[in-house]
Amino acid sequence: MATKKFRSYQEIKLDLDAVIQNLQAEDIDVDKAIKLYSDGQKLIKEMDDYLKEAKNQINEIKSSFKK
Amino acid sequence: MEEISYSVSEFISIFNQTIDFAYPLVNITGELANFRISKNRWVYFDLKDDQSTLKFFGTIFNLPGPLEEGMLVNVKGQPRLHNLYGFSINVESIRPSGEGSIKKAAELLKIKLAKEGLFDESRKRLINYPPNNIGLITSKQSAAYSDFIKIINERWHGLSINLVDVQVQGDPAEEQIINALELLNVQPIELDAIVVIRGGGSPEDLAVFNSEKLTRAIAGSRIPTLVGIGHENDVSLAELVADKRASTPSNAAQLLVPDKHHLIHDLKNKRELLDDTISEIIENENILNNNLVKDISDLIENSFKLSDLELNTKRTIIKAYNPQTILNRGYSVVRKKDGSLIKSSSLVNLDEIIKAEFSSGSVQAKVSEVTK
Repeated sequence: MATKKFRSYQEIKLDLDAVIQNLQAEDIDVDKAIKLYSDGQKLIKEMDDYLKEAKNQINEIKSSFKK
Repeated sequence: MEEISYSVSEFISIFNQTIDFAYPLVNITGELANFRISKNRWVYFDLKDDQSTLKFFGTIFNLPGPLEEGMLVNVKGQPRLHNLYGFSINVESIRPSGEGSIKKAAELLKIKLAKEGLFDESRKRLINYPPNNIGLITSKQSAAYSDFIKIINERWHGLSINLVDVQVQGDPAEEQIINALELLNVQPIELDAIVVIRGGGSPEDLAVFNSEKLTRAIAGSRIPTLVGIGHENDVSLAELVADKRASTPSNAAQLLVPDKHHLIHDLKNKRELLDDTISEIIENENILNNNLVKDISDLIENSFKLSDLELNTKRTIIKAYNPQTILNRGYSVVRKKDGSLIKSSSLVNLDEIIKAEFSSGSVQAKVSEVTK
């Protein structure tokens, strides 16, 4: 797909929850665990970026109020 | 000297001519007696003093109002000798005379007019406040006029006053004031009020304002009336019948228009109050707004804190499942040559080449024994 679909914070969080749930399964093999671990790290980074961006936006709005 | 003999009619005629020449109009004051009204039109009465009695004849239109026997009245009229009824005075006008009679006549008239409902509160109309145009009936030479104008000018601007200069006492006063009322009632410019004023004076001076005709004329005015006659304690029928009564001419001016100084002062106060109120409202709104902004900020901060906390928890969980961590503890991963995981010894044959991965590095090994 050429365009990246916008995903809300909540959607990303649900994905991460699914990854964690799968990781916690007892019969998971190590290869699957490595893949899930890597996916989880990506999702955490995505959420981290999302929150940083949101905080920046709020700070901009706040400073426009103080003018 | 030759005696002249007349017929009765000739004598009456000559007598009347002579009397008319010598006394065209007489003015006689006496006590009212034998007063009677015939056919609701003709009026007969006597005036008397200690020693004499004189007959009078007139119509009800000559009466100033209800009269009572024993009253002292002043009558103007022409002496006449009638061919059938003898000598009498033909009445032109009758006025109560002396304070007691004037008062009594006014009381009688007041009772009569009150019965007709002329003084009823329900008849009183409101005068536009402040008025734009008024009619003023008074004597231009009087102190009442100058007092009234002075106070109006002190208190207000732009009141248009249509003055009708009249006599306010004496014989012509009644007719002049009634004519003035009629005139002002048909002005092309609609008046807000007709004001009738006169300063203080003796009961005789003020008597015209207790006359029936004038009282009725004021009651009949289409335009609302304000009447102020004499001093505080003088209450005339003209005042009682008016839509509004003023105690004096100055008081009439005070009742008619507001005091601009008070209004300006009031306006200033109101403007200050308005300024204060607006400032307060804006200040309160500002505080409210700032509080809201702060509340929203706090909510967002909290939401961020919660999100951060949640994310950190998940980060810790993910970290705990890092396969590398397990290898660090001494576990290792063993695969076939094709890379598939070996989860059981039953999947391995003797002499097969397998690969073991450690926390760091890996080895290839040949299977020398298989324990099932």
